Amino acid sequence: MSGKVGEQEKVVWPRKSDDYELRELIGQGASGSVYAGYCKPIKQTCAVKCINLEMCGIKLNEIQREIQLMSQCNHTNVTNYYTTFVVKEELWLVMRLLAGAGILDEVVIATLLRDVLKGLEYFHNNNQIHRDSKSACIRCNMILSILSVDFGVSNWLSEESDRSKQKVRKTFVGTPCWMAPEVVDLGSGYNSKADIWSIGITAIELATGTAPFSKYPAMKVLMLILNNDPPTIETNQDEHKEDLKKYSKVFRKMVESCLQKEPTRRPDATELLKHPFFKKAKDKDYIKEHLLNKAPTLEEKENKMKVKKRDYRRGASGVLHRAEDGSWTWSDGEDFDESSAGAVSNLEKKQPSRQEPKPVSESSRSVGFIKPTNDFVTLRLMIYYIYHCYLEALKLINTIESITNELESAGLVGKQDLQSVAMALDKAIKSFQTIKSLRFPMVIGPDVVKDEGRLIGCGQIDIVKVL
Amino acid sequence: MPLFGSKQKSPYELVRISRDALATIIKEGSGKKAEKATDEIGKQLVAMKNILCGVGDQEPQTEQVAQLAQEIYNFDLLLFLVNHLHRLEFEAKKDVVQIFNILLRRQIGTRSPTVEYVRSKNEILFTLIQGYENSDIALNCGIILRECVKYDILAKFILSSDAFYQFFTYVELSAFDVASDAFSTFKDLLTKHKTLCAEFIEKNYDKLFEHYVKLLTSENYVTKRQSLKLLGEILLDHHNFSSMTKYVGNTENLKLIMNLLKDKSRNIQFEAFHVFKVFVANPNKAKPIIDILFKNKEKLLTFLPKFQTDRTDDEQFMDEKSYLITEITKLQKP
Repeated sequence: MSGKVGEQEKVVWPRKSDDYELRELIGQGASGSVYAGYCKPIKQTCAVKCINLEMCGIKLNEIQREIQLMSQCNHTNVTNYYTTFVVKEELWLVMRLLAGAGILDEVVIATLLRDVLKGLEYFHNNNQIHRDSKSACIRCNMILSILSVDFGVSNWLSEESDRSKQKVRKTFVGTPCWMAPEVVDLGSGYNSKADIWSIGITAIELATGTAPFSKYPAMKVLMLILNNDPPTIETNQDEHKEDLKKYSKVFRKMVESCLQKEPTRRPDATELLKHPFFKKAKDKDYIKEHLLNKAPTLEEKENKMKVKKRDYRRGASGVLHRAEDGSWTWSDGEDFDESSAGAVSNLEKKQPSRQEPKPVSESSRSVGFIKPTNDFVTLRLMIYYIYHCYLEALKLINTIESITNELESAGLVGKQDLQSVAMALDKAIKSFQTIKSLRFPMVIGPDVVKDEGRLIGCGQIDIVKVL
Repeated sequence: MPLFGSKQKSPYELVRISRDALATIIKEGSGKKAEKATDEIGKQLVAMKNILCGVGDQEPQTEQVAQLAQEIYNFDLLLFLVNHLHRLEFEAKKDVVQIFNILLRRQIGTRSPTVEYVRSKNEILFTLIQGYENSDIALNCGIILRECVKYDILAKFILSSDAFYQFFTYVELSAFDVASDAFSTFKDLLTKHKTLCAEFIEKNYDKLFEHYVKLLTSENYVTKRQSLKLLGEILLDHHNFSSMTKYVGNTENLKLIMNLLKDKSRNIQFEAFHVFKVFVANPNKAKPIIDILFKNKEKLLTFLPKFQTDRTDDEQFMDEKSYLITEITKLQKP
């Protein structure tokens, strides 16, 4: 045996896109997206960063340099990559999925969050709500810092909106895990306090490595946010409960104050900065020493986040230009059709769409909060999801089938009701301008009494808001 | 008398202990003894690095450096380290890279003794090139190789060996980090030493481009884009004038590039443009080339004005494009 010294058995990460399942979008930057992924042949979870190389402004040699730099780093706080390969016009970087507890100590969390809060304070004072203050942006994860320094989405409040109503946004965007309940519940409208909720979630993520509901599909996350008690650092962290004990009371209090369902009870950014927890914060050098050797400073990030806007185009297909149709002509009547046909068929090969959240895995299905019975499930949420789909549908066709599939895999609708739900959805989409609400039958057990008022034996779709 | 800790080992000791430790690792493979030897060699490498770089504010001491270098040559340590690089720890591999590269840069007068040493031990360069086949050490080998390629005698040696053609495989490896590192070395080999490179390209034109076409038509987006860009750079370098003339006289090349002009990737189109312009701008176009251009005159005159019109900030591109349009408009039936 010629075993290698000092190395444990090494996992070989495959370099084919087919071997990976991209499950949920956990971060998005100007240069690409980061997904929670699963590598099927070796049965490992991972994060997959997909960088679109066709996007302008990215130079291949810069990316190469960064990757080379990363390859020469070996530090627990610096995310290294497992492998990297080219998929059509994208570069995929397979990295460790930050999970598990005790990733950062409180001083680091306080320092990071304080800086984010200062940024947020600035935004709020300038009338801008920051949509995704999720920690993807400050994860101090080398690759994210280098390749996607942008801070997600910032959306100016519409000046045209009714000023008497205190400038309230009504769009449905953001990553569900970081969404405040009032953001999920479109009826109520939301303001800058929604960002404070996101800060609370971010704090949890920094402490535990994952956002509270991140293992669930988008649809279910929305349910959980609305219906469950506000999450704490222990939420869904059963395996790591022991490790989480080290977090102090003052940290927990701070998180708790951010995660109050009633937005008015949450502090604003300025008040939150005065919370005793932030006394722990040190200066930026501390972070530099502890975490980021080469990453841009937070100031740089803040600057970036002022100018960057989310680019909604996904995958390479959105930016492609197809040159003039028709082939060139060569001398001697040589046939050129072959290669030109090749080019066309290439074009038609669609990239697999990844927009919709993937079905949940077997394991998370069994953890479900909601048993796959439908007696009491109101499908009010569904309509939000439809909006969501509509928003994205400009680029990607989200079929009713894909919605029902997801509802099924999220354990919200049983097989027996899929048909009925699909028909109702179809009707709702077709007539959303004229109807406000529609009910449809659902299968119930023999000993359950049907009660439409309490939504037993039927489901309901409410048209809450048409965008 | 050393002020702190144990006494410093002499360069001779450092090198000898490293060799012995390496021998133990090779013999034992794994297990306690091998682990201990791995630790041992790691320590020696750090000590050697400290002699070569100096510690803290301290400048490296010339005499010590000279002694260490001599011992390293005497024991063929570089050769051994490179041959068994995959057996070392992560940080030790990096130290080897640093030690190797510092020694390469070391000069005595106009002589570069390490460069001469590496040249005399062919195996080192071949092993380094082969390192691209093992992803555990590929990038470490790549960094050393690029430092070697900076010296024309070493670059020349690689170019004149068959090992050079291995790069055509390496740049297409599925591991992007390795492939792109190999590409940087490949590029350096073909561009760093102008006269040497020009001579090589000219002499090996047929074989080289037979391989190169495969890169230009690769399924791998990055390979295609990078190789096309490099092609443009090579053709536009006046040192390569005679190879350029040969290239733009060939109709197959023109067809390939015209097809790439219509690639679905904008970046590839753009790189293709910079090669295409050489065909059109050539004042002494061969008749078959004129034939093709003339046959496509109308199509080109529709295509070019609409080609990447949003690059308005790239003045050179705009100028070149309108120049091409003028040239093509002037084309007469041959």
